[in-house]
Amino acid sequence: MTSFELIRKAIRYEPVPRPPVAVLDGYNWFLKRNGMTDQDLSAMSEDDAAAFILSQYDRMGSDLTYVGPLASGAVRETLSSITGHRPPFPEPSEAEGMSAEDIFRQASEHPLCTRLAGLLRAMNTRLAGRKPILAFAAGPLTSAAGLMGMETLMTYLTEDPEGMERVLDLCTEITVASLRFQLENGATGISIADPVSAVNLISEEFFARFSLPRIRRIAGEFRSLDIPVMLHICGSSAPRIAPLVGSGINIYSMDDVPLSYAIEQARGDFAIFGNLNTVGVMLSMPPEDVYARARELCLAAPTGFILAPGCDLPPDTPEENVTAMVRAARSLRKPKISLNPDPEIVKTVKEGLKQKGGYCPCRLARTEENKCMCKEFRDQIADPDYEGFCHCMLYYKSYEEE
Amino acid sequence: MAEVKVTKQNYEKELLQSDIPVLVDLWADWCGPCRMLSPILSEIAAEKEGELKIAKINVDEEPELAAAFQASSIPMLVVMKQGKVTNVSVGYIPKERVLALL
Repeated sequence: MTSFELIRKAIRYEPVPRPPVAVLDGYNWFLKRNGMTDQDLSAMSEDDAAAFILSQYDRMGSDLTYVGPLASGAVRETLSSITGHRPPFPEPSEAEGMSAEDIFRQASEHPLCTRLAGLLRAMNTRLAGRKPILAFAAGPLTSAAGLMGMETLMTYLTEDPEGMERVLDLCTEITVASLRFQLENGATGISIADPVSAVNLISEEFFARFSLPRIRRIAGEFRSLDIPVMLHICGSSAPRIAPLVGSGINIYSMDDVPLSYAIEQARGDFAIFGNLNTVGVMLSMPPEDVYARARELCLAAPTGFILAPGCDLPPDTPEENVTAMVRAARSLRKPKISLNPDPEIVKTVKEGLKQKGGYCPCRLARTEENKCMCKEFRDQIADPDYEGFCHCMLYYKSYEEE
Repeated sequence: MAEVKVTKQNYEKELLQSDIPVLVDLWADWCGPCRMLSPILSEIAAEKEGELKIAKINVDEEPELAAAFQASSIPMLVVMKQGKVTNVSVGYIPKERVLALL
C-alpha cells in the first residue's frame, strides 16, 4: 500500500494497517540537519533539489511531502511592484479594483513561480504517485497578514470590516489561482497554513466572519479532486474544529487539542493530523517517551488520524525523536507470519521439531525459550523494525501492506 | 577431500594440527539453514582445494565437540587458523559473507 493510499483510507475513516505518519513541512529541520540554508536549496537544479527534498522526507519516514511557500513570495513581490509599497497593502483601499486572475497571471511569470513549477514537476516524476505532494497556501487571514502586516490587518478588521472583506476575497481568489497552478504542475494535495486564525489571535466571531467562509471557498474549489486538503491552525484550536465540518477540508492539522475531543468534533468529516507537542515532546523528551506518547495517540484513533508533530518541527529536534515517532506508527502494523516458501526447508525443520520434541532443531539446548515458536522469534514479531525469517527459517515475518 | 567429517577421534588432527585454515561447520540433519548452507560450503571447498579445509561436525552425533565450541545455535561456522579460532558466525549467511569470514 502506498502512502497515498494509506492517507486516503485514513481520510475516509476506513481501516488502515497503520496510521499514516508525517511531519508538518519540516524544511527548517532538514535544512539545519544538513547544514544548509534556503539559499543552498535554491542554488540546486530543480531535479537535484527535488531528489534532495524527497530523500529528506524518506529519511523522516513522512508519508506526506511538501513544497515551500514560493508562490506566496511571488504574489507578494508582484503586488509590491504594482502598488509600490512593502508590504503591498498598507491599507485595504489598495486592493480595490484588482483582479486576482490578473495578479496571479503576473505572479506566475515571477522566477519564484517558475522555480516552483519545475520543482513540482521533478518531485511528481520522482514520486510517481507514491506519496502526496502538498501545494502550499496561506489561509485567507494569514495571506492578508503577509500583504498588509499583522498590526495593520488586526486594526482594519475592526475599523474597516467591509474593506477587509474585499481584501480577504482578493487573497482567497489569488490563493485559489495559486493552488490551481501548483496542481497543474504536479502537486497532488493541498496544505493551507492559517496561523492567523489561531484562537489567541482572533475571536470566534471574527473567525466565522472573515476566515471560515473563505476556507470553505478554497477547500470547496478542490473538493471533487479526491486529494488531501489539509488546514493547519496553531495552538489551542479546539473551538475551530466543529465549524470546519462540511468546509471541504479533509485533514485538520492541530496542535494543543485533546485528540479524542478533536475526533469527536470532526464527526468523520475530516481526519485529524497531529499532535505531538513540538517543544514539550519532540524537542525535549527522550526517544522512548516520544515513542510512548506517539503510540498512545495511534491507539486512541485507529483511523481518521495521521500521526505528526503539532506544528513545524523545531530545527534542533533530535533525529532519534523523529524516528521514534515513525516507529510508533509502524508498531501498529499487524505482522503476517508465514511458512518458508521452500517446502524442502519446511519439511526438514518440521521433521526436526518432531524428533526434538517441539524444540527448535537449530538450537542445542532444550529450554523453554527454545520451544517452537522460540522466544527469539516471538521478540522479533514484537519488534516493529524486524522483517525476516526465524532462526531456523521455518517461519517468515512480513508486513503485507507495505 | 577438502570436506572432512570431524569426530572426537580425529578433531586434533583435522582441526588443531591442520596445515591449512579450517572452516568448521557445526550442523544437524534437521536444521533447515544448515541444509541451505551445505552446498555453499561444498562450492567453496572445491574452489579453495588445497588452501582451505571444510570440517563438518554433526552436533547431534558429537555433542561434546559442540559444547567445546560453545555452540548453542546452528548452523555455526568457525574459522580456525593454526589451531586457533579467528572468526565465528551463527545462522545462515550467503556465500560472500562466508568468504568474508575467511
